[in-house]
Amino acid sequence: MHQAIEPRLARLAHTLDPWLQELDETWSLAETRARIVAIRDEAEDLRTFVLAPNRHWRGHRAGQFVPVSVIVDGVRVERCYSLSSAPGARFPTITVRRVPGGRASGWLHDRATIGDVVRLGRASGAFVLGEETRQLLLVSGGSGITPCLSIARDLARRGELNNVVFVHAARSGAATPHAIREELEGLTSAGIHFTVGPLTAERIDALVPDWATRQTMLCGPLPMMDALADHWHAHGLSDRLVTERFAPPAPLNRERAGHSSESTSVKVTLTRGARSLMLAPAPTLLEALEAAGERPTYGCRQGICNTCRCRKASGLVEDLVTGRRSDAANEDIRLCTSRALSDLELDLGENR
Amino acid sequence: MKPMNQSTAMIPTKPSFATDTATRAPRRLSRDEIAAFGAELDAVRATVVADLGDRDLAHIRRMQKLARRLEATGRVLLHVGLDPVSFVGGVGALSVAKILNNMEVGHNIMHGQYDWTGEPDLAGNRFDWDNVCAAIDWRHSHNYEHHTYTNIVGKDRDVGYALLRIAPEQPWNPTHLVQPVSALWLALTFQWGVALHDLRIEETLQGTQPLRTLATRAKPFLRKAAGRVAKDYLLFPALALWNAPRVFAGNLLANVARNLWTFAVIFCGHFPEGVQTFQVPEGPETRGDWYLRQLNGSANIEGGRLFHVMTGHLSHQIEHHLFPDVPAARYPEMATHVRAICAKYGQVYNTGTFGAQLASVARKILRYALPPTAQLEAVASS
Ligand SMILES: Cc1cc2nc3c(=O)[nH]c(=O)nc-3n(C[C@H](O)[C@H](O)[C@H](O)COP(=O)(O)OP(=O)(O)OC[C@H]3O[C@@H](n4cnc5c(N)ncnc54)[C@H](O)[C@@H]3O)c2cc1C
Ligand code: FES
Repeated sequence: MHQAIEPRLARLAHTLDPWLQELDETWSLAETRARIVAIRDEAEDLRTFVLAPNRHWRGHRAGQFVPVSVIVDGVRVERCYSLSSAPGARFPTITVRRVPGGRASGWLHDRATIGDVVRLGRASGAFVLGEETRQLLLVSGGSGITPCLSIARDLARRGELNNVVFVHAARSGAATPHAIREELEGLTSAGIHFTVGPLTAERIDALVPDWATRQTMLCGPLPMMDALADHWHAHGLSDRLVTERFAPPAPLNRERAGHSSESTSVKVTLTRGARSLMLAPAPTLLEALEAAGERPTYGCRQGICNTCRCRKASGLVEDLVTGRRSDAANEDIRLCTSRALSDLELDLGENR
Repeated sequence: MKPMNQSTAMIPTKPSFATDTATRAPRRLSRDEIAAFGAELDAVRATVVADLGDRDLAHIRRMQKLARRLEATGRVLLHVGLDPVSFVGGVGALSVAKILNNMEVGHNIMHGQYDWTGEPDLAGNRFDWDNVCAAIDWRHSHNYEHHTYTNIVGKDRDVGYALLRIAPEQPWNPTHLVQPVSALWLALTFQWGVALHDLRIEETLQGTQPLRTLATRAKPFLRKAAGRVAKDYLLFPALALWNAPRVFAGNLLANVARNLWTFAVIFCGHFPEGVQTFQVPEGPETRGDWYLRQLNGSANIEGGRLFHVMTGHLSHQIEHHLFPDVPAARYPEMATHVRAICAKYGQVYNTGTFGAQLASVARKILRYALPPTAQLEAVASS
């Protein structure tokens, strides 16, 4: 039933949405849209956007992210942003660091104004609280503060912030989000540490002597995360550590793809457009299709958000993240994490 | 420079060449020149593609909005009005809405001209239009067949739409004697002509297409046409209650107006005198060859900005055929460069006023209604 209703709703939305949007840009029968109702500077190059979503917004769990799409130079760009607000907030927030030369973050910092409307996907992600919430250590660096902040705000709401330690590292004093720090310090009497400079294992040892007894959630720049993850690993505590990566683990994908013996081009037939392309060898199908001039929709490019999911009518592909091989007809695959092992028939229409 | 070496890949069929462009024949280019010609056009394309951005997205959004608002205005005027003035206004608004929807919006989006925006509702392979021709059929017959095999007699089925004889190398048969009338009929019912065209009914009649294939081909068309007919001739008249006949007539007139207009624009794009038809290329065509064939197989119509928009920029048929997936609103600026390149390589850039091009098409339809002179003489001498 679900399947019968979805396309019909989509068709109806296609006809009626433009009319609804003549009245209010956030109105839609099917799409989650949100108006930016406030913009706050948290620190140098770090900005919070307060969103008023339409009724399609289904909320989020603390620590989850949402695909946000904006129009940059006429092109729709979708990026994932962790929600920094507590679940259930009437106005969810995202907090965005400006990436030099970044399209989405650049647009949000330079062009977005109050009243602008952005499109949202559905919140998802596994960087969420487990059963054990009291003996918690939240460690963040830079914009990685966002999911940790959401978790801290959620715990404060539930009166469970007192046994939690929150460590945040900014690259400089100017990059330290002072208002957030004050807010957190106002919520709990101890355990809030805002530091400047790279967060090393020694720093953690000094700030949180009992770190090894705690369940730790970590999000920050990749070098910092790698260094700390090694530390946990060295102590045999990897299972006590949960991490969230903002940037694609590109080297990982590439390395794995590089090991493959298959390096010849494959033929891909796009069933919707009734066209065939030869794809040169590339780490992923998404990159190969892009190199061939196609523009499949994508979001995270790392196998999280499912935006790039499309229907494979036939052929063999391997998922580089899960290692799973799909050889059956009519299976859904993710373009951004899949590699073609044979000629394929794809329906990119499903992916748009 | 290498010795002049005529392209083998694209030979204009001689009779059309001789009769139509006797006065202004394009210069024959060497292989090297054809390659250089192609490279210059590629550069024009690259410059515009690199510059695509906010204003192109804004343009297509504005056109969609205009078409939507005109459609609403037209329908309201037809539904609630009682007087002839609001009837004429309603028909006018609805006609313009349908023309914009089919040409500047639908035709162009379905070419994938806005795929680069990543906007799901502008995706060329998903878009559908207010026309009885099913989008899926159109993408195949137009985007693929017509744009790939432009004006190759026997491969591009748009040459005369399998109904009219507009090139001497199309075999004559007695039905062509009445083609001035068939052309007029095709003009009035153009959307049906285009839609039925994809079903290849003539092939089934000739016994080359099994009935079963025809039935499969007919499915998307029947579904689409049923929906369109129901909307314009049942649903909206029914909603208008006592005004039903008025709404029925208004919708019919708007569809006819759109048919006449699109017919006129499209026939001026490929069938005026001077436009060449081609034989099936021997061997592979290079990009330069393809460009040259597109140029020689198309003709432009001169006009102002509003006129260009109303033709969906098919008034720049030449640029459209050279760059089918570049947003059409960019054709006027590209035309300046294309003309200069044509002049540099001694190529004919076929353009004229709407009246002149239409008259030229009409002359051709009349001329080729008659059998070739050889056949005529044979008949006369017997
Ligand atoms: C699950 C998840 C959650 C995220 N949450 C947040 C969040 O809460 N706040 C936030 O600010 N960002 C977050 N991000 C990152 C965000 O999605 C974008 O990657 C980031 O904003 C850059 O996008 P852009 O379009 O501005 O840059 P692009 O135009 O895509 O990239 C421009 C250049 O910057 C490089 N680059 C891209 N991303 C990064 C990065 N993260 N660090 C350094 N260089 C980069 C690119 O390689 C490229 O060279 C999250 C990402 C993921 C996957
Ligand atoms: S883009 Fe996220 S799964 Fe591919």
